[in-house]
Amino acid sequence: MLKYIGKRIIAVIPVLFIVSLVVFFLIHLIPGDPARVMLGDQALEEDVIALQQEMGLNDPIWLQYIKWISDVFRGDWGESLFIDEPMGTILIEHLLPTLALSFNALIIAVVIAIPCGIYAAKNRGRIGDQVLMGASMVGISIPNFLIGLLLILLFAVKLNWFPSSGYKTMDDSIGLHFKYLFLPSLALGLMHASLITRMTRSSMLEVLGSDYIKMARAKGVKENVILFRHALKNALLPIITVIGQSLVSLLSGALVTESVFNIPGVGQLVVTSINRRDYEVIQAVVLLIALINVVVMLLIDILYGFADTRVRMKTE
Amino acid sequence: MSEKILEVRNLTTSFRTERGVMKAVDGVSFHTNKGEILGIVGESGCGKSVTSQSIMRLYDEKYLARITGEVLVEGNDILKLSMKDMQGIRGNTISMVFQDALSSLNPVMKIGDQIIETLRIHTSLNKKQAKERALEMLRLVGIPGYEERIDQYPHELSGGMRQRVMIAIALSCNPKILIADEPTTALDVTIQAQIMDLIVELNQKIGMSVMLITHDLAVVAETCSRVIVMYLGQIVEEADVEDIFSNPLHPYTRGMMDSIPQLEGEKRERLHVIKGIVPLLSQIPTGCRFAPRCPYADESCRQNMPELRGEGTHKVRCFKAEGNLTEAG
Repeated sequence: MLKYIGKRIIAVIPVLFIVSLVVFFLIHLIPGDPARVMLGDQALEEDVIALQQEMGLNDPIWLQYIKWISDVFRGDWGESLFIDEPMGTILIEHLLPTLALSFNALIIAVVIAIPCGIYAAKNRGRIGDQVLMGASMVGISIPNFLIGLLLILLFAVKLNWFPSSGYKTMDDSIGLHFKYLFLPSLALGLMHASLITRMTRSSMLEVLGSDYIKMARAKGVKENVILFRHALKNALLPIITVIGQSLVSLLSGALVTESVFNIPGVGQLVVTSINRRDYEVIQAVVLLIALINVVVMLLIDILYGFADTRVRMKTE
Repeated sequence: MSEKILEVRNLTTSFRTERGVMKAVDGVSFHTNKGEILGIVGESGCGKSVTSQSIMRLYDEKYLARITGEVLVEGNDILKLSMKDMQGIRGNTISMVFQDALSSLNPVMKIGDQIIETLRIHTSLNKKQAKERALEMLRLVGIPGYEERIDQYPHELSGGMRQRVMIAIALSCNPKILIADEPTTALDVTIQAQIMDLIVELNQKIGMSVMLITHDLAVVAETCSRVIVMYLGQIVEEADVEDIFSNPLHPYTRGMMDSIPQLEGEKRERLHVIKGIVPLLSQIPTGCRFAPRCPYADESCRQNMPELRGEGTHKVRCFKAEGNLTEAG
């Protein structure tokens, strides 16, 4: 198992290299001179030249990359033109709400989806299955800002159970923190629950039709044990993949949901930074999201190894 | 002659499908004596596997399958049992070995755990005792290095080994009846012989009855004491193994015998085949079901369904063969 994990980690290195290249060149993809664009149309020529010098734009490109990447490793991720705080603080401040939202949404999604998927697979073609599949189709099809707005309308405006928008940190009050997060998490969670339900169902159906399930029945194993011990463990691989993808897309900033519920997360940071052309912040956020992606994917790979020994045998 | 351990009476299994109700097994009656190996032969789709899985009640009886008739195990009709009671029979009184051991063993469970699971369901052994018994079973079925093998996963074993593991699982609770559904079809010839030898050896050692489902007549000739030939969900001939090879009566049985490739004789002689294919269940002919493919069939064969008739141990379902039956005694 350790050998397998080691191999997965080594395999990540080239990915990280490519990611760093892409992020580095991002700033050079800006049409024209980054320094000029950053300072705007009205900038004085000497300011532009000074900034060019400061940014090292006159150096050869490979030297610029090496300088940039060593800065990144030293923790210097650049500076915001508008926010007067270190980049690390900016990123963490915006990442925390997104993390909280993502994990809450994912927990809601998994708690709803896996039992529903198993139930649908077990009762394939019957009323319960059809209702669940219809509901999940609706969940996938409705854009989630609409779900968000409907939830606000029902729970915040009509029933007044939850606040309609905003964010409270854990330090303010744990109760309030979850109260504020509930509606946005539910809006996101419902959508991802739909995806995970469908994947759970189809994966379970495939496994339930297999010979070893028949064999387990022929051994006299109880139906519930068959369902959870024999079938679910085999069906888990594709389910883990979808859950991982959901997590990645949640962590990358649920842009629309964050703006509907006015949560100061990564999504909002990206939108405001793009609006005011705060390039180094954009660069830092993109790098951060890419790193999160790589790390989550690595974790999923490692989870595969635990769920199915065949996966890790192949690499050993 | 001896005691009947399993008796099937008028077993009928039909499936609800999108194209209507399909009768896969139609009024099958037979029995297995204590300690004997009974062969059930027939082409693919003749209902032999459905028969065995109906006996085990592995089909979804609520929505998919309708099973009628009687399956008496030591005199008790197991078709009347609740599913919960049935779970106590499966793997305990009646065990089953399937065709493809690779897909029939759970890929994410160690083989030892798969044996131990069966033991823990049906016996009062604790974990340690069950593990000892599992080791004993692996040794019994002839797995070399069984002490290490017990902690391996199915994909780490060869095809023959997997089939041995499946037999170990099936026999772990000392079943009275073993249903082996084409246990050697997925294996190569030398391994086939080893597995069949193992089944015969265990049959003699433990004294359990075996229902061997196969389409391989050579296997039947070597191992079985009695044979049932099935065609389209019905038994068409039933006899002791000597009788069926020396005096096959049903044209279908004869056709199958003739289809075995011979080493002797003209080199360029064409291999005999039974004309046509097994009709779909939705297109079962009226009259004798084999009539459309039978070289001897006449108008009355196409109109009327022959009964399974015979004196003593040899029975046949054919108008044309009944005469030969009395002649043969």
